[in-house]
Amino acid sequence: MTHVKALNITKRYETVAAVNRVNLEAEDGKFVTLLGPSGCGKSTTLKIIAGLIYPDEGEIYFDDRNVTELPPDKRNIGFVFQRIALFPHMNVQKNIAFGLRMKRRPREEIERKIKEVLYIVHMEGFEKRMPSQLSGGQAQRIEIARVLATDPDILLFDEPLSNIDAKLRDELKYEIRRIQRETGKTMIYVTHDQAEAFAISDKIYVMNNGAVEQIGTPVELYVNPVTPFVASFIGSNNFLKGRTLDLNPSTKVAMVSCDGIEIEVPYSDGLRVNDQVLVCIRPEDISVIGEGDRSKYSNVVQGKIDESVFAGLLTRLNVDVKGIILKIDVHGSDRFSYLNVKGKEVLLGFNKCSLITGATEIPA
Amino acid sequence: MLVTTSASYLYLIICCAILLLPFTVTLIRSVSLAQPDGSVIFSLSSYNEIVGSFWPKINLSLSIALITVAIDTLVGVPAAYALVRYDFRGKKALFSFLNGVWYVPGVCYAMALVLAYYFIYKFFLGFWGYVAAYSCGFLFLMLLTCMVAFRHFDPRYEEAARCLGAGRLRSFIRVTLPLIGPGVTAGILLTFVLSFNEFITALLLAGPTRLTTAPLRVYSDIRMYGVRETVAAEATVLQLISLLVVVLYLKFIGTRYLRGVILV
Repeated sequence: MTHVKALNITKRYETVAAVNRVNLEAEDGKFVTLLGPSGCGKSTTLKIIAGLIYPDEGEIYFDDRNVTELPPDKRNIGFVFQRIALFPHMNVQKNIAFGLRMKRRPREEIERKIKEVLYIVHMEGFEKRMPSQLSGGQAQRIEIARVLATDPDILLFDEPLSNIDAKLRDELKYEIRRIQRETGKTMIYVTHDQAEAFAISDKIYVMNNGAVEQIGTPVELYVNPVTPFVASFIGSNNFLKGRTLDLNPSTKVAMVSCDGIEIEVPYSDGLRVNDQVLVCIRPEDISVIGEGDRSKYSNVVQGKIDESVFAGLLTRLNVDVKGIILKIDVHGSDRFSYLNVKGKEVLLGFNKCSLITGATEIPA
Repeated sequence: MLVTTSASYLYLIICCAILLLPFTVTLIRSVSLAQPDGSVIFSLSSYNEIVGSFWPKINLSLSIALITVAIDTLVGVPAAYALVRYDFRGKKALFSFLNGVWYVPGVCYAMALVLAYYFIYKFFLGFWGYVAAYSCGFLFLMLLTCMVAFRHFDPRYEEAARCLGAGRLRSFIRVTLPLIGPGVTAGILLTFVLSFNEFITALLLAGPTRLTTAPLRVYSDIRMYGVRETVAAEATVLQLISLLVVVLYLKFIGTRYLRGVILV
């Protein structure tokens, strides 16, 4: 169990900063995820923590030890790769024994450990198989077993499930989470898949263009994104450009005007009247309502359905509100009543919405 | 189906026969002894005759070839690794310089060495002259085969080994080397066969080094005695040893790496 801290790490390739002044902290026994699109620097950050890439600037601490200068074999880490990295010329048993033999452990301990880790990943009886005889999911389990065998202080995962088919991926992510709970090890996990990150993480770092955009629990990131990137990358969102008209300091509610639509949005300190802001409304937070329900919603607007798409679990409506298209997700049995409704006038109500300050461009 | 199969077998047999014929002729010549009355009888006496004079030459050629292989492996494998894995200033120029030797005509290369040995590297006037000439001349083969192997080798295996606690050297020996086995195996084989049988360079180096290698001895005997049975016996022995080493090598070392490695 180790507390990992990365301070101000920067890595440049030519003149481009792949990782730019990233600060990261993974507390004892916590599951921390780096989430971001491909090329955002998340894998580079992970490899810097592992010691596989040497940073241009910054320092890495494991507990109080400064490990910045240490090679990966001296850091006592476990690294699970995106593409299976089991040694193809060794069978499962020898692959798992590799790390222990490097540490010159006695034979009995190695044999005991192999049994133990194969039990943890539910792969008993596969000792003699060659990696080429394993399926993708089995190989990834063996890889996790191999990493666990050396009893590392920290486990690092570099998109370990991205080459595995969807159904197994779902199963394995809970498996990884279970192993984390059972072993209590600090884990840092890299992924571009938001659902994966949400399902397993204690804390998520959202990265973009080599920098950290926002840090938080899955719920915090979803409910209160602080940058346009986070708001659009996580889940789906409606963005409305606006200007603050009025602030109510006692209720902490701002009145924002967005191209003629007036919206009440909760705000936090630091906002002033006439500031440029972005209002974000999740498609699932907007309801199609009847005249009688007006009082239940702090915001009510009128619009015309432009398009409706049935997607199984929900029906997605595009509603034209004074020239602005709002995405609305209808769940439950109501979703079947909006199948052929193009051109229909509807009343929309919503309470939940959030505010992003200091940004004027709607993210693509 | 049957016709095409038989036809292709026939074709293969004819090709092999045409290729093998000259070797068979040498073999037959070496065991046919002409009698004073004009008849020809089967005899192994020519092999007996060459034992004393030819075996030291074989020994010399084998030693030169094996030391050359050892030097080229020790130099070529790490050099190939560095050329593939690291970027450094003048990498392209260095690579062209190293493989340039291979494109120089053998005679010119040998002549340059003769002059260099007489005037600069006087230490090489002897056994090591051959070793130096062959090691430099054939290094490119080892370099090329290993570079191809390293290019196809995914660094993640090495990274995995490092993260599991293996140092640079141990991860190279335990993981990288077995996985690039086919490249090294091919390099060793080519270097051995070529340096054991090298003729042009040997022809010019025989003077300054005052040593005659086995292929050179066969050549000078042909010039002196013509194609007599003892010379044919020498040629046959040379062929067989070359072939034998290759077969043994492939059987005991080569196949393990050529066959056993499954690169995913």
